[in-house]
Amino acid sequence: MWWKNILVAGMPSNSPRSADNVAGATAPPMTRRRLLGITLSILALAGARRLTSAEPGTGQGSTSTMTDADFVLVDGWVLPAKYFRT
Amino acid sequence: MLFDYQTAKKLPDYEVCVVGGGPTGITLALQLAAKGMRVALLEGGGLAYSDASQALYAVESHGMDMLAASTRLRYLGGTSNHWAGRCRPFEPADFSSRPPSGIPGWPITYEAFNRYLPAAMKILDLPEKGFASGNPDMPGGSFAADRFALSPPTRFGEKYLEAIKSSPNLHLYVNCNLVDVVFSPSSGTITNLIVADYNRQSASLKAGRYVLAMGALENARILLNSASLHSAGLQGFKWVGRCLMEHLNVELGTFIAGEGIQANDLQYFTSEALVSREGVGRGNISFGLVKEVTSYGRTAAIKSFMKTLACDLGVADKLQFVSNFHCPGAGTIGTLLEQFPSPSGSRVELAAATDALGLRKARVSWTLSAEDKKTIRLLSLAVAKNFAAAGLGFVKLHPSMTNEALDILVSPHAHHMGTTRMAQDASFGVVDENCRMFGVRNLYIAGSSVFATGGGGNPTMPLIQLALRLADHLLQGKPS
Repeated sequence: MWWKNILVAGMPSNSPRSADNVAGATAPPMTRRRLLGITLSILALAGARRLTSAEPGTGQGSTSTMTDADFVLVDGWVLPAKYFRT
Repeated sequence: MLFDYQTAKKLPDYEVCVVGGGPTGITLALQLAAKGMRVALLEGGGLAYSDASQALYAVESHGMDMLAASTRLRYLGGTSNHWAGRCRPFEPADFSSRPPSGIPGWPITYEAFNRYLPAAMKILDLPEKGFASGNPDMPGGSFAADRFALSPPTRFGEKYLEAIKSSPNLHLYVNCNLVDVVFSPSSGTITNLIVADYNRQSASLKAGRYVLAMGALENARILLNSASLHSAGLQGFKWVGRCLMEHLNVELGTFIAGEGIQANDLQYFTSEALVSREGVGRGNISFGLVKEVTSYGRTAAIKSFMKTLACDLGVADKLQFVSNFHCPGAGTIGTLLEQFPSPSGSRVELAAATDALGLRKARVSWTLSAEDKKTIRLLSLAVAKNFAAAGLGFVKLHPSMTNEALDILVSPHAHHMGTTRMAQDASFGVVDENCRMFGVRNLYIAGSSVFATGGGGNPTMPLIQLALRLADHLLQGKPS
């Protein structure tokens, strides 16, 4: 899907290899603001999937101190839901 | 004293015969000899690597590939000849908790085990400062900073060879392969071992007591190959080879670091609160940035060149179907997760094919149980959420973490455990709390094959602790 390229384009670039990357692995981290912009675009197109207690791996009836309603799953990314609340 | 069995065939009787010249066997043999016991230490390989010896580690593999033929090394020093040196102590909860499969855990207390920690740390040349963490706890209470220590790493064959040679009570035989363990049902004892050189010239060796210390896969294989033990109808024998455990290095996902976060080599360990609340295994989850492409095997140089070229050209993602690797700068997540002992799951059996010495090869089945998959998927989601909530960055989970229809991708750590598990009685294990095989008065088993559970840490230090404990027991001269 073409919208995936938005996320891929925003990832730390693997090419061309910078001297830093080859020598000491200092790829610049993505800022939250940039990531938020990218994921909002994806949300508009693909829809976010809110993590629920029925998601694989969360365990039915688990009593985690962190509720699943606090996070959304977007193309594999686990992101705080607060970024998507209006 | 050192003998090459390929040329020197005289085998006197001994008080104790230890089979396996790895960390466990060397530690045990030196401890016993230092106290005046006449000890034979048998090593199937030589003083250095050889293709002939290494070929005897070939297995039939089913399920996931443990890479058993290459992750183990079959010469003096064993797999310590290429181990990374990481050491982490067992937790008290490892000895009090019970695996979800319903079988019992360890029949010994944490205190009985942990008292050997200082001596084990000295043997492994660990720093005096002990176990330390390199980063803070992850906020949230689910993942603490992992505490560990690094051995130089100690290469047991190199470090202890002179001590072995100079010990008058210790006879090391290299190129001396164990091919049979002969059991007498009438006496309930092992009467003798059959050993062979690479020309298959065999001889008998007798000792008062015998200790198998060849690693989890080989300990099980030699017992299963013993016709006399197999036909004896010993109650605990049905557990030989079962409950094979590894530590799981899961393809969990990748990450990007938050602004200003130094994310190289962050190591976390599951908190006891998380483990007991969710009923999952323990373990390490680490975050790091790839510095260089790594490859393994005999063509590592060629593989690394091609991978690096693919990274430089920006086409690495196109090659994932050929080889799964990360380019320098990528944020990778590694794991060392506990695999539960599963009576019906992972195991060592015998293949029909035989090796160059005439022994049936091991058939290794390594699979994930439902409990293992729950551990993996729950911990992946938990660490991703906690990582984001703590402001450390964001995790992109591998699709298999949230889609149960996909296979979870796992690499081995070469931590083979559990195939002759320790138990309170023969209903659930092969050896008792003193590592003596149930039903056999003079046969003991040492090393990680006796682990009742695997815990969430590297097994080398715990198996040294158990070797020291077994040495104490053998030196007490308790009746078998």
